[in-house]
Amino acid sequence: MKNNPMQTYRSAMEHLPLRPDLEAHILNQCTQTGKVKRRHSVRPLVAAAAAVALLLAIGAPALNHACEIDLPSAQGKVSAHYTPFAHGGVQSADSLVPMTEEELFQLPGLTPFFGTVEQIRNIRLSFNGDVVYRAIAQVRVEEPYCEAVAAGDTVSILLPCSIGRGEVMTDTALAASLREGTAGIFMPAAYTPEQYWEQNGARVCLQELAPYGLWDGVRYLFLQQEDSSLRFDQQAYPSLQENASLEEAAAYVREMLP
Amino acid sequence: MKPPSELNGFFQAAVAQHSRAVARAAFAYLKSIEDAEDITQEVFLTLWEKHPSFETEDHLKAWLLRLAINKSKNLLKSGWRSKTEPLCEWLPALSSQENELLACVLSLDEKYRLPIHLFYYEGYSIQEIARILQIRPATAGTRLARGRALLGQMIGGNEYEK
Repeated sequence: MKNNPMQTYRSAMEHLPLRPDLEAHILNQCTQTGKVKRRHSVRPLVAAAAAVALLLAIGAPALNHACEIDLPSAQGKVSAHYTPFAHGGVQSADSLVPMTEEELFQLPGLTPFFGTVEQIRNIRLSFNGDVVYRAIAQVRVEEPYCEAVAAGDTVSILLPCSIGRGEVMTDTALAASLREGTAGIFMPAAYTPEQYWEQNGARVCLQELAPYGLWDGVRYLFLQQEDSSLRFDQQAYPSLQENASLEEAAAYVREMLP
Repeated sequence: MKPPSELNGFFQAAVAQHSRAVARAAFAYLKSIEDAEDITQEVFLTLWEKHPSFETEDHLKAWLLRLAINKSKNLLKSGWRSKTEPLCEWLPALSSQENELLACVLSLDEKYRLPIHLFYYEGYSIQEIARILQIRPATAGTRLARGRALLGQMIGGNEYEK
């Protein structure tokens, strides 16, 4: 946020969409009727649910964005807390370390399952002043493909990007397209206590952010689209057809697991 | 007591000059445009019915804001409002940046976001904030500092200090 935040707050307040006839309405209500006709702030359930879904997808203020994440093992000046903001670039396939599809499935701690995103909250990390944004997704396991998780479990996964509000661009990494309600095959890796993220001379234990993480935002997701098609990185998985169904992808994943 | 025509003129001027400030303060408390507008009506209805006297325009505005905050508190305590408390909604009229910053401020506890609003939007001093919120100046200062710190954690840097 480049502008002075308090200038932005003043600007936001100035642009608050109050009714344009507020003054006339008050004069009429007070001097003519002597009564206040209250409009109860009842929102239709659908609109309220939509507001909750939107705010949860971005990390809802109502869920206390001042909540700091405890990092007892951190070294150096490190902080992490939930934030409504989404910042930072999104990974593209070009930036990934090339791996064969066999190698992709040999990632230690790989924990594939079919599930649905229940909640996503953006987080802001500071490593000695270096600020980065990520997100943590809570995903409900509906069908496990390994023994590490069971149906009904909710898995916390550290995403390699933060999640914005806008329309999802088709050329951004798959992880950036995650929203509350997104269903698909997730292949996070379980962090060990020894795995850490070091940046700018400070270090954070990854397990303290989330027990699982996506190794990259492109190759470890197979996401159902609204038209029932499956979106995944077909270049990474040449054995899987481009128009593979969810069932075909699930069978493929089970087959490829070591 | 002022004659009706003078009362009317005074009241109209008060509405013209302060109604939006009252609505914004109520919004900072209630996080709902509709409720803020309703509270604004109630505030000015009270002004119309009681027609108190004020030494200066500043005294009038401070009184209106104090009344707005008290009425907003009462609304939150009401059984009806507690069941339907709205979330801070994304306002299409605002830019993305404005919405994001507003979301941060409105996510603060009301004891922090009101001093923030009164200090940074209305430009009140800590003494004046204390009078409006009917708290001790030391408490107002502490809450403002704490609100700043919490905002700083959310948005980073200390540019909010400017």
